[in-house]
Amino acid sequence: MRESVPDPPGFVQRLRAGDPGAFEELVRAYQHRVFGVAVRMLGNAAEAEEIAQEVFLRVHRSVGEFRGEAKLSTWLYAITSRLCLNRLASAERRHRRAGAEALADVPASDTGGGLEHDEVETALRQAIAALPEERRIVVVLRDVEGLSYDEIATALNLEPGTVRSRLHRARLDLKAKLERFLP
Amino acid sequence: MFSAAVDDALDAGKRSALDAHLVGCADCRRELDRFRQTVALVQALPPERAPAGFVDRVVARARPAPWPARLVRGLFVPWTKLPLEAAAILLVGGLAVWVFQRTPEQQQSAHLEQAPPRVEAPAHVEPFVPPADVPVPAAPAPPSAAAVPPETTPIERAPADVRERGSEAQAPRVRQESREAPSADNQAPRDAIEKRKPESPPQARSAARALSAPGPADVSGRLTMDDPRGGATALEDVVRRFGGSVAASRADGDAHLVELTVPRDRYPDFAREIARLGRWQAEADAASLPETVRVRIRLTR
Repeated sequence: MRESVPDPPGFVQRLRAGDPGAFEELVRAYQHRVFGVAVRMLGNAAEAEEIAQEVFLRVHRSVGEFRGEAKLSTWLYAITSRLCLNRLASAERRHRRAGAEALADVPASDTGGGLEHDEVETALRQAIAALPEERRIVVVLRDVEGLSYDEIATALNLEPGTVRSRLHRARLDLKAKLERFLP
Repeated sequence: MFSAAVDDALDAGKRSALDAHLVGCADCRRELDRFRQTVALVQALPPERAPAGFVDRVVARARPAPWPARLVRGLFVPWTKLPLEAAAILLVGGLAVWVFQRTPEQQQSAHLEQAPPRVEAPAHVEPFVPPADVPVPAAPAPPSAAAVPPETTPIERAPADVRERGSEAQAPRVRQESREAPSADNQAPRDAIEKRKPESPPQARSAARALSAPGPADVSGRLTMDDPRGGATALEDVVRRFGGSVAASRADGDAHLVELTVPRDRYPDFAREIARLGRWQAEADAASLPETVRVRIRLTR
């Protein structure tokens, strides 16, 4: 799980001022997080890059509207989540892909853990991909990206109670699918 | 409660209650343990990495295009979005206007067609009043004077249903207004045409307008003489002496036909003069003649 880090002081001001160096720093710092959420939600690396690029371009266009009430990272996760959910809701995509097959073409990172570890990781990816979208985004933001309940509620524009409920159900679903790997 | 427990999000009271329950419940202890392991597996997933060159691609897309490219896009992109049919219509319309403006004959023809055949002085136009036998429904309140453009005629201000009912009576009136008060747009080219035309006496211009309008002559008659062809030449001299003009003069078998115009105030003297050329038989009422009298004379033996 990733560590949540605060925004560097003065960084948002530099972005608002149109500093091209600041924008490049932003992309460099958050590229893997944004891409990671997109690829776990969409299950397709090319589609995930398309969405991730769109996230940063939207930030570039509308950073002047960012009021700084939430962390910059929360704003990025909010845009990423919305774009992913919109893409998943599109009829064209629903027709093209079945949810259970979603992560089949995502290359797993080589962690050198052996055959059994790879099998568990594959099963876990498939279990996450099979979750309903509104549960999947919550578990990705919480257990993979390390956001707090409040940050998730802000990013998804949900009540904290709804976040807790969806997270709990998502974890129960995953536990049921991973029973055979649990001692 | 398991989720909150795994995330250490339980308050102290709930945490104590859960711990107390777990001490005596092996099933719940086992379930919580498996739940915790599941969450640990998810949290242990290796982070995804964006593909190589991602930053460069995003920064390149965010960079504004060079100003010539922006200019070209701004100028031409909206035009390329126009449907082809609309572009064709605009092209044809523009060509028609261009040809009309470059062809004085077309403009002169249009001008003459619009010219009133008889009315020389502008007549006062009364505002339209619906006929008494036509029931006029309650009309919406008329717009205030300030809201009505100054060029709007009383007819235009009338409610739509009234305009429809009175359209037959109004049609000539509207045409008359359009002649009397040409818009600034079409008045300028018309003035230009007038300036290009060679100067001619007022009587001749009046005669041309009178003859260009369809309709019978105001006076027609027969002039009997020994030599109709020679008499036609003498007749043309008389016409010119009395301020008129000959519109047409042609042989018609043994006879000769002359169409001419003379001013109304000179017509009686003109008639007396042509009576000296031969035996003049005419049917005319001097009191009802127009300002420019169109005369058709058949010269016969």
